[in-house]
Parts: sequence; structure tokens; C-alpha cells
Amino acid sequence: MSDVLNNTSENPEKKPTRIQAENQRKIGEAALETFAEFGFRGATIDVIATRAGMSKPNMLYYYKSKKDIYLAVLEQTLKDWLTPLVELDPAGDPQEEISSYIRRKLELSRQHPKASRLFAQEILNGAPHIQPVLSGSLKELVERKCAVIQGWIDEGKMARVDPVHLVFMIWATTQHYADFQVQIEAVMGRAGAGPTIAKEAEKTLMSVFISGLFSGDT
Amino acid sequence: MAQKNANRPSVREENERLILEAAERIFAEHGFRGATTGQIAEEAGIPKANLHYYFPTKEALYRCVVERIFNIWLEAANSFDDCDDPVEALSSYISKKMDISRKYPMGSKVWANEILHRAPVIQDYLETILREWTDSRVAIIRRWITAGAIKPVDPEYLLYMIWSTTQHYADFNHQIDTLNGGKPLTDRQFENAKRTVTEIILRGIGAYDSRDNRADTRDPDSFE
Repeated sequence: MSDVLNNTSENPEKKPTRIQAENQRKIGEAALETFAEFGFRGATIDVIATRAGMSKPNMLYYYKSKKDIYLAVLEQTLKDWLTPLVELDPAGDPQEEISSYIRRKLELSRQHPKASRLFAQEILNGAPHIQPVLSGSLKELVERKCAVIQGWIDEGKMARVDPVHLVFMIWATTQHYADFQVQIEAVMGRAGAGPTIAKEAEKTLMSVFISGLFSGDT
Repeated sequence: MAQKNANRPSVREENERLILEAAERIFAEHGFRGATTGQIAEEAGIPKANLHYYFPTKEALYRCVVERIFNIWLEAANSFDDCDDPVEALSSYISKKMDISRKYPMGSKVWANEILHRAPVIQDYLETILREWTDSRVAIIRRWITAGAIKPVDPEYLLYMIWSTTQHYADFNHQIDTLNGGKPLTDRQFENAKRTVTEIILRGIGAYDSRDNRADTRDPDSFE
């Protein structure tokens, strides 16, 4: 889980020291484990600090409360997921742009499955903590990028689909390999092979999306 | 839940239905571990002793809830059996699965919750019934590929695409509603969703004749 909590990159004057960055990484990992196991309510600051291998006061230097840690983990997950969407370039080639988004999104599911599951749990529960981000910056970004996709459609560069449902489809089909990892492994009889399976899935995902969006008359 | 007398549910059936629907809501919100039978009885508006008469343990009740949504999903895939046309079979499957997400989001969320928690209660289910069922659908998809009706794709991954996309409209409905200005999708928006998903998948596996330029999925009442 590299730099899950490292939220300071756009803030160069407050760049954390190497030790601070390392501690934040440890807290992020410990928090993911703990929230995944006990949920938000069941998790405690003490358990997270113990698992991060630091004292409670030391951890509270980085984050004031359990809620702060939880929000930092979720916001970092969203940020990781949305960076490739932010970079969707209206001037780029639509097929390349969308392919790259799907590929990067799937790669995040492989590398950070726990973060994906924590986010899914938060949404399943009705987004009690992250609602303001969803209705604020996420909504704004999705609208902006749907307009980009609609522009490509209007130029006849891709099939006429409803952009927002395409975006949902990309989210759903990529996050599935993290969120439903246990189910997939059980059905395929390949316990523990989740990341390998997600890699194998890439070929089918790309082939269906690309033909679905860019083949034939548009 | 089998219907013995076609029209009039017995008291027993009616009570079981009330309990199962309440259980779905409570389990969806709190998961298996977090939920109590007391909460569920209260939600159903019946005494706790009555609940235990119908469902002796929390686990028995939970398994019924999970089996209920699972059986609803299985039924949706019956279109595979009596159909050699992938366009017809998959359109019908996707459409039914989308409708189920809209009609029974709680059941789908209970399932998702269970999987997110590493399937402590239904692991055996996944390894037996779900695996056998998947294998049987995979065999049908392979037949379509052999017959040249669709492109060679990996059938398992195609099924996961359909499952994940259709269930997203239940499991992530809170996020979808939020992005839609805090309102659930209207009937027309939902039809747009269905059409987009169906078109991408069917065109994506080459099931349509390429000359067949399908309907415009964009309309003035699209997602806001």
C-alpha cells in the first residue's frame, strides 16, 4: 500500500520527511487491516497504533481521531482511482484514453484490494462518512469527464452510449476483482490467486470494452 | 419461498415474508455479525419469540436471505437454457439482472457484504452451487463461440463483467443516487443504463451484425 495516506504531494512546502512519510504509510496499512476486520465502529485507535508499531500519542500527531484516519484512507483511495479519470484527455485518442483508464483502474484493484473493499463497505452502508466528497468533488469530476466522452460521441469517434453509465461500468467491472475476490477465487477453485486472476481478466475486459465502444458504425 | 397456494399466502408464508424482508434490510446495513434477531423482529413488527419459531437461529435466517437473492439471480439466467441466440439470451439476462438490482437492492447488498467479509457463512455455497452453475453457463457460452455466434472471449470473465455491472446498480446505488443529484434514477434513466450496458457487452462480444446500428441511447432525459 504505497503512499495510501500521503496526501501532501500537491503541497510541496509541507512535504513530509522520509520518516513522516514512512509512518503515514504504516498507519495507512494498519488502518486498512483494522477497519476491514472490525468495521469503522469496531475499530479502535489503540489497535491501529499497535499494528502500525507506534505509540498512540505518536500516531495522534499525524491524525487527530479515528474518523480522520478513516477519511484519509478513503480519500486516498478515491484520489488513486480518480487520477486516471482526471487525466482523460479530450485532445487524446478516445480509444487510447479509455483503454488506459480501464487498465490503470484494474491495476489499482490488483494492488490495493483492501482499500477497494473498504470503500465498497462505506458505500454499501450509505456513505456515512464520505458523502460530502461524493456529492462535491466526485460529482463535479464525473460531470466534467462525461462531457468529454459525450464530445467524442458527438464527433462520431465512439459508439452512442450514455457516458455516465459507461463510467459506472468501468468502475464496477474493475473494482469487482478486489471487492468480490473471495467469490471469484471460490468459483474458480483458485484460492489466493486473486491478483493473477485480475491480470488474466484484463484481456477480456479490454476486448469487450474496445469492441463495444469502437467497432462498427457509430 | 415456494408458493403452495397460488393466490392466498398462509399466515406462515406472510410472517416468513415479513421477517425475510426485515432481515434483508438489517443484514444489509449491519452485516451478519452486527445484526441481532431482536433488531430484525422489531423491524418486522413481530415478537422475537415468533421469529425464532420460524427461524431457530440468526444463521438459519441469514442463509435464507442469502439463498433468496441467489435463487432470484439464478432464475434470471434461465434465458440461457432454451435459447441458441446469444443476443436474445444475454439481453434478457442483463435486463432481468438490472431489474433485480432495482427491485431487490437489499438482497444484493447482503450478498456483497458477505463476500466483502470473506464469505464466512456461504463459502460452501460458492464452492458448490455457484461453481456448478457457473460451469453450466460457461459451457453454453463456449457453444456460442464454437458456433461462431460470438467472438472468442473468456466466458468466466464475461460473466463477471455482467455480474459486476448489474449488481453495481444495487450495491453502489447510494453513490449512483448521489451523483444523480441525490435522486434515484428515473425509469427512463434506468432504461438508458440497461441499454448502455447491453449494447457495450453485446457489441463487445461481436454478437450484433455490424450493420445493425442500434438505437441512440442518448436522450434529453439522460443522466443529469
